[in-house]
Amino acid sequence: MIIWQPFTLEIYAAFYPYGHNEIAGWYWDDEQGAWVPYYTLVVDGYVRHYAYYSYYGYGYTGIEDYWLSAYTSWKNQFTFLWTCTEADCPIGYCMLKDSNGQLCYGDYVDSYYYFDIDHGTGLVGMPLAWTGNTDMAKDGYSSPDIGSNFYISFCNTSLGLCDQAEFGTYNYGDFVRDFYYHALVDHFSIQYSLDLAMVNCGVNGFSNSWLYQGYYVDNYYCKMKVLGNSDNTLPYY
Amino acid sequence: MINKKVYTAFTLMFIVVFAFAQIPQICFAQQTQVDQDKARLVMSSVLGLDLTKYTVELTNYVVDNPAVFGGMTRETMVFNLTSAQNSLSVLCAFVNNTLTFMKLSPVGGAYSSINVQSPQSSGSTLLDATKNAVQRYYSYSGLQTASDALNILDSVSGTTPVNVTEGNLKLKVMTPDNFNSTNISWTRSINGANYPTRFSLDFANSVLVDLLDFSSFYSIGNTTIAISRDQAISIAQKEAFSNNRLNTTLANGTMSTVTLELPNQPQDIELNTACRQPLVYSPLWQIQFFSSNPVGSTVGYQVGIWADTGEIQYSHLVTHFGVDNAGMITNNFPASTPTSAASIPTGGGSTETGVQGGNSANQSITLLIVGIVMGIAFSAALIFLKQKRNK
Repeated sequence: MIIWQPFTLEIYAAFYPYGHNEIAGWYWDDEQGAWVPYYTLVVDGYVRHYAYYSYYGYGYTGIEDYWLSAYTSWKNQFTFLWTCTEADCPIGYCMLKDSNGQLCYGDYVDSYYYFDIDHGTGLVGMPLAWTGNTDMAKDGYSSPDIGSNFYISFCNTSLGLCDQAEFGTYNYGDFVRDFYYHALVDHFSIQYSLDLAMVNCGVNGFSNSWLYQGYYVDNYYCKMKVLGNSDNTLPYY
Repeated sequence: MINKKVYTAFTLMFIVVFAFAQIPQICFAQQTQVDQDKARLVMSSVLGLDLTKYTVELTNYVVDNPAVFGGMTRETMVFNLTSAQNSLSVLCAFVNNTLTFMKLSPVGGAYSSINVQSPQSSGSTLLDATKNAVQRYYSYSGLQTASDALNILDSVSGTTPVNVTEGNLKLKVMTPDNFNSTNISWTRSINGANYPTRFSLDFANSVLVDLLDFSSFYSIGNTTIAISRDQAISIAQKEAFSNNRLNTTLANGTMSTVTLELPNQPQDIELNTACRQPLVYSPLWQIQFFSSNPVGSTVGYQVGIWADTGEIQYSHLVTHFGVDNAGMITNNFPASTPTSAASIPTGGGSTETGVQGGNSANQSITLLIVGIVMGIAFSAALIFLKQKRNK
């Protein structure tokens, strides 16, 4: 795991167009008193644990949900991860491997986490690994809870930061940059920052965006998942 | 004698400078009151809130000049509304003093249980609620867009708005699957392309919670489709097959230049609209090729071609993450997002102003410092002249 140095919005905005920022994970670290980005890799196991994908998408060689909590200390109040599956909620039948190593369906789960009791592999689901909160609103954008946690990432496949299909003349990198600007500099709530960033890109608010409405990649339904309390306002950076 | 005059000069100077420094504060207070008044008018006349039932508090006030609006001034205000029953948050954004966006959200609650103190919110169907909301907005704004929206709503029967077309105006209704809300928007269809009116409403439980209207600012440019679908595909093929090589790191860690395999025919071809220059919509062909054999996270290629001119707006590889190969496509970023760098609603041109008038306070401090320096210089000159005269 590489933990970059605390950064400023200007540095973020400067580096994003030139690549190598495909995994955009930041969290507010109370001890450091700073915004810290994560840049990590992936692992898989007998249970379909959720993990970070590598830069080039090869293999599962890094960080899994079940032990990530040891590093996050379950204390992250704000987490925004722009990469595939980091908000995958095991809603539906969780995937297991049988004794022959074949994928099979396990228990039906309707949550953003569960604990693998059967195999003893521990916690499943990145949102819980980062926040330690088992009670976040499942749609924290439109129906926020009143807690201190907010988690945003993708179910299934994320869209590229360079992708312009939704906007024409803007891309999702523009959206992320404007979101952070409105949240950190203008100090609007997370919900309003999502809306204003979309408006800046020409979309009538976050609720009308592909990210929130959902989209298909290779016939898989994908969307940006917003968990927790989007009424929260981020601290000044 | 000299010392007494110098002290008097210093004192007078400080009084003048201090008074001068208060001017921005006073102006700011007056200005925010004016702005609050126009936002209160929106809350009562458009959202239909009964403000006598709420304690209204301004919690954030930001002024900026985003490039997306051609550098015009945008004021964004956030209010907390507290009543005996609940708390609401309301955002109002104005561009050049015209309402462009407002949003109502429950504080610490779900839209599904939203309850507003409003004489208009009860007992109506969604269609009635929509008509009432547009009527209120029309009464407030007098804009033609709202009038057109009302006319097309009158052609709908039943209890909920449905997709319908009148002339070239389309009423589009969306209901996201995960909460009890409805989005209603209007577009104009011209030569096969849909041009957003940038007027839309969102309802939760038949309560208007979101209104966006940029129709006063956006216009439709050249609607001619000079580039046919086949021509656009041909241009996209040329682009994609000329630029589909990328440097990548293989599983063994070595770097290699590889070619992303692409199908000859793109899978996704759409005629959309976008703003080539701020606030003016033009038709845009958006074409995507998806590889059946991705290279790492690089899965395809996308091209945007202006349908009226044939000019390429963007042309680059697509990844699920960011950009796989900076060396190959670095130059596409500035070219493909010409307004991006400037669109930071931020940049040097923006001004953030907190409710306490932080920015004005900073200006005051600056003025105070400048005044003190001027005062010292003035006094020094006075002493110098006095001494010279005494000699």
